[in-house]
Amino acid sequence: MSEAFETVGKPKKKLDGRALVRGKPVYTPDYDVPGALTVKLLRSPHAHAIIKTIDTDQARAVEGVVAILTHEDLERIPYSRAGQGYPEPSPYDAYLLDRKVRYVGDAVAIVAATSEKAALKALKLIEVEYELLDPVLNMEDSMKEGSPVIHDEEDCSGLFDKSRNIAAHFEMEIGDVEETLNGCDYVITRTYHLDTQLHAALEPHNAVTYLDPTGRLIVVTSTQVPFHCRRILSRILNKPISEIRVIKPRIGGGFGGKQSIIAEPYAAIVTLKTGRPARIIYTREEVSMASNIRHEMKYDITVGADGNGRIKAISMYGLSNTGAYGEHCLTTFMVSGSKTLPLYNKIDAVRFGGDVVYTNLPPAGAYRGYGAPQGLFALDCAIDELAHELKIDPLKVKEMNSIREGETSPIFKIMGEGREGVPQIMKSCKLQECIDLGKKAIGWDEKHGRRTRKGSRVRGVGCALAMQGSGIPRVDMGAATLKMNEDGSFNLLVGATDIGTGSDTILAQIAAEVLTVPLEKIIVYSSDTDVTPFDVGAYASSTTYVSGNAVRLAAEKVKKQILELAANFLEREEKNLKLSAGIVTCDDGSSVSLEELCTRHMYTFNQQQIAATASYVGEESPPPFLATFAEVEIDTETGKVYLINLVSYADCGLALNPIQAMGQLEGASMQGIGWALYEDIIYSTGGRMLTNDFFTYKVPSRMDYGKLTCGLVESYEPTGPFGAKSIGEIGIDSPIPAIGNAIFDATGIRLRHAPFRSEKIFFEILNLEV
Amino acid sequence: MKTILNVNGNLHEINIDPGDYLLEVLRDLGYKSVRRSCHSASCGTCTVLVNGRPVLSCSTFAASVDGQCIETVEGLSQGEKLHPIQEAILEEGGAQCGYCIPGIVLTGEALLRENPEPSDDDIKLALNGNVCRCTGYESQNRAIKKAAEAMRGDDYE
Amino acid sequence: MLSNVKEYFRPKTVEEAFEMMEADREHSIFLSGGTIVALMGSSRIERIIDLKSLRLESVSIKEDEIVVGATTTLEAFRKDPLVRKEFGDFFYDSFSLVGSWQIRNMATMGGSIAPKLGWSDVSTCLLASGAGLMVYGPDGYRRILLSDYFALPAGEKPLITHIIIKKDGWVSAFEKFSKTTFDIATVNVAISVRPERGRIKAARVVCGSRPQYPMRFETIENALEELEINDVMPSIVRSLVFDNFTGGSNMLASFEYRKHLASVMAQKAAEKIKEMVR
Repeated sequence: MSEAFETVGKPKKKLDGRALVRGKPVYTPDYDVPGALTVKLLRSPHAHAIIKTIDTDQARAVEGVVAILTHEDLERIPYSRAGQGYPEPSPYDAYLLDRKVRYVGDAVAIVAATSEKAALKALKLIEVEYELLDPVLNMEDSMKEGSPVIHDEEDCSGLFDKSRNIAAHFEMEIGDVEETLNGCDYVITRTYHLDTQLHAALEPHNAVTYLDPTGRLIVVTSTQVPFHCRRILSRILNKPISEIRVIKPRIGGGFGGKQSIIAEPYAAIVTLKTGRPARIIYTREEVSMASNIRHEMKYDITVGADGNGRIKAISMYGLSNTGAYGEHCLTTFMVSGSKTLPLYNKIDAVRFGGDVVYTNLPPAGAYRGYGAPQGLFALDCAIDELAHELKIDPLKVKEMNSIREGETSPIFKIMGEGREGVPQIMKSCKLQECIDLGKKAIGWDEKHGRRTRKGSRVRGVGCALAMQGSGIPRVDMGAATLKMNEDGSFNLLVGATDIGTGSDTILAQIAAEVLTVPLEKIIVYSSDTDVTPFDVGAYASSTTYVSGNAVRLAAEKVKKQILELAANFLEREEKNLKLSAGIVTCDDGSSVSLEELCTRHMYTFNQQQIAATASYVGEESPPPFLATFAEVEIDTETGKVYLINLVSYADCGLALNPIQAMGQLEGASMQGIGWALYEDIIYSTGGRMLTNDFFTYKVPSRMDYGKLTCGLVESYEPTGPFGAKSIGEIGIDSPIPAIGNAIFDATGIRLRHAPFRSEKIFFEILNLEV
Repeated sequence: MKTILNVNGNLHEINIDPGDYLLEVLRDLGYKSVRRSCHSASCGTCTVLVNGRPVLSCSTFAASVDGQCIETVEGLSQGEKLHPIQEAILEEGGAQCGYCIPGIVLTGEALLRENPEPSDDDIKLALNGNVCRCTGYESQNRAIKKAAEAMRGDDYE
Repeated sequence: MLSNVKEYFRPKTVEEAFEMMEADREHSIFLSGGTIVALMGSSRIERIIDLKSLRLESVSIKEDEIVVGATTTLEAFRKDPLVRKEFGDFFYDSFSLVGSWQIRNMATMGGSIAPKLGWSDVSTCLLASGAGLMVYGPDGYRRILLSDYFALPAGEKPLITHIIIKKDGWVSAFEKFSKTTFDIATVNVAISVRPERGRIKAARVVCGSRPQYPMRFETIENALEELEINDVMPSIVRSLVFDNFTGGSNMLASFEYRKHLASVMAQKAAEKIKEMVR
């Protein structure tokens, strides 16, 4: 398929690649804004407390301090930090500064000074008297009778039941689960628990804000959601959207951590109050403790099947920990069902529900996978366990029960993200091919069930299947503007947010393909709310599918204009004209190059700007699919898990840029591997995150895995641009269940709580041997 | 205090605070490729070469490298021509967000100066202190290998 | 930056360096590699005394000893041809996973010992090799054992100028357990034995990152005397370490787990020694 195209499907180098490898100053901290004040935040040392008094007199006296703001200085406006479409399906439970603090690290005061030194000095001199409140530090305690209420304020809204710390609640049932389970030959019930994770993007959260000469607020920020940022800043600052401009330059990673409005408001309020530019850069500790983390989730799951392994009913009831504030609380919870359960579509009955609760821990937010990895840990491993009870190869059980092309699942209609979903039939699904390739690559038949032992080391293999989505159907919208220049080049303006993924490049590839010009003729400018048309931003794996379709539509509009104008110019009929290799030719031989056409139409003939804008909203969200296989070796004397090989084959439709697509799959896989084996968040007894730097929070390094074998299986998604779907998130869904299943294969130990700590495995092995 | 920094062959006579780290001093001098990602010497993003050896600029006092030969990635490419490691990273897709890349290019260059024919294990050990959160490492390791071949002239038949 | 630093000194001699420190111990710090100083980020520091200007990077042989200047980096030390000739791959391998290549290019031999870090692989290995130190204190130079340095009372902080390792023909091995490869040890073990006619004539057994700093386990060392170096030896070493290990729990591991790990690491080190002796 990809051979038929010139630009699309080709491993083109990233458009921003040269700048990146040369270390050019293209990130927000590199934006030189002379005179920018340094903004620092005083943060709460307590997990749950009321600020009784706050005295900033001494701090104000420090030379260089320009402003200090406390909750007493600000208008009280509840909002949600969630970078989601409006109206956000998240509670409005956050305040720029509040008289209550709800986690260790919560903001207490904003200091702006002419130097970092002065700001840090001032921080130390602010005197706060706290009234300590009992904290809720475990999500199992949140809903208990008598637990402290975290959001007892009058003006929060959108919470499900604030008296019981429930931020969101959801339930749905299709068919009759109890009845179906009664008719099953085998029923297993288990509980799976997946702990939280840090994004650990290398560029910390940071923003710089200033007023332009007309008094508009300009915000340059490391964000995944420039348009949501603009809207939410407008609300927080009580300033019209038209007076705010948000610009995203290159950013150093996001992974969902920058899909919320986190650092910008603090700098922005300083700029508005002082009239001066302001810059805030989070330290690594602040990023870890005080931006956002992943939702910890626990699932009680029941799976019922017949004696042949046909799964008849699934029930999942979950508890999700959204931390001190509820951004993304309902949507991540729903995705843990909506982007996992449809995989096993041959069921007669399915039930999904649960609660998302507040705790006095750092707020959870969006994170690659967005609930799917948590749900999949429960779902895939439960099915794996069921298969073992049935004494059938778990890969076979997953294979025979999983969705294929032309099929559907009732879940698609019932569950969207925060609301009802959209029914859809799988128009592209190469899951079987992914399984076949992956199975062969890992050596599944030779290795599974063998428990090969060498000395103290034992090996095993595990598998997991996954799906995700491509944008939120009927919600996520992206738009693109193309305008032509007289040299036959085009400016492509997109709201779509390149966070290192290479989206600028693939969107340019789409435009180049439609317009039949080389990639170099497309000049991309993205993510500037004044100049680029709207886009929801980089999340929900929407950029390729939604923004990509918008680009394709805009390019086709421009192509149509070109042909119309050429017809008029050449005095021929449009139907006899063709655009190819940058030249419009008529079947009688007359022709005009794009360069000439545009030059004439810019200066001397029928002058007009050749340009078009197009928008796209998905009617569907065609899932990419993934089959992952893990081979592990466990040192039974230490409990350490060595990842020998992780094999992941994905169907992302047509890979618009195979190198970038592979990069997403490999990167997401590595993040999943880190989460499975190394990334551990530990809190003190008082709720302070102890593992808040890279010294204590270990992401995998180069020597921490054996082999990573990723591959792409091409399918054709008719609703996607040139057949493409998405690939950004799915890779992170499967490593934990695959590795967990492999650990079971190797040792007979079933771990239902992840990450899989070597100390835990060691003592389990010890117990087994006793 | 006065100090003189030799960065990529450029001599900078500057006034610094004795407690200043090399990272911020280099950035203030305009070498923005040197970046801060953590505060615990644990990620390698801020790597620069001092006398040819990769070190962490976040934990090096500027005063302590007074007069020493410092290299940043700005000095590695001549005009428009890229260093082979940079070229290879571009080809293999080794730069996604790009934040870790200057550190990786410099550490890779230091490795190849010492060992022009590194094995896969040599590459992994030398770059184990350069964390990347985006790529999953495969493309970058391949790029270093490829660059090593190109620099040895192996692919010029 | 360390915002409170006001002065930066480059002493020309060891005596000068020590006197600078004595002038205001509370607000001063010796700078060698710099990684620990930066990691701690202490705001009490107002004076930095840069030991690099003492030009103490050198590795030389003096009779039956290797003398290492305290500001020699870990990387330079481990790759030094003299060190490799005398001690084989012991230091080359055991230091290869200390931190990262960048950290090994910065951290120094003296700077790795002086702060008495619990998790220092360097300290564990040097203790096991019976290393001595040349230090400079209020009474001038003196030579002490590394183990004595660790036992000095809190107020006594002489300046380490050299690390001295005897070429005594002992056979050494090191093993550590850590969560990831760019991480401090959860526990580390170094064993050194003097083999004579297929038996352990004497031994030095060190466990570190317990999480307390490394120490020698004399009970184990005594129990190993006269033990035959055969296929059973490693498991005997393992049992001895398991029975005699002391340490504690922290974020990285519980005491129980550390004990098990230390014993397994000890067995692995003993296996290596067995192979080397053969």
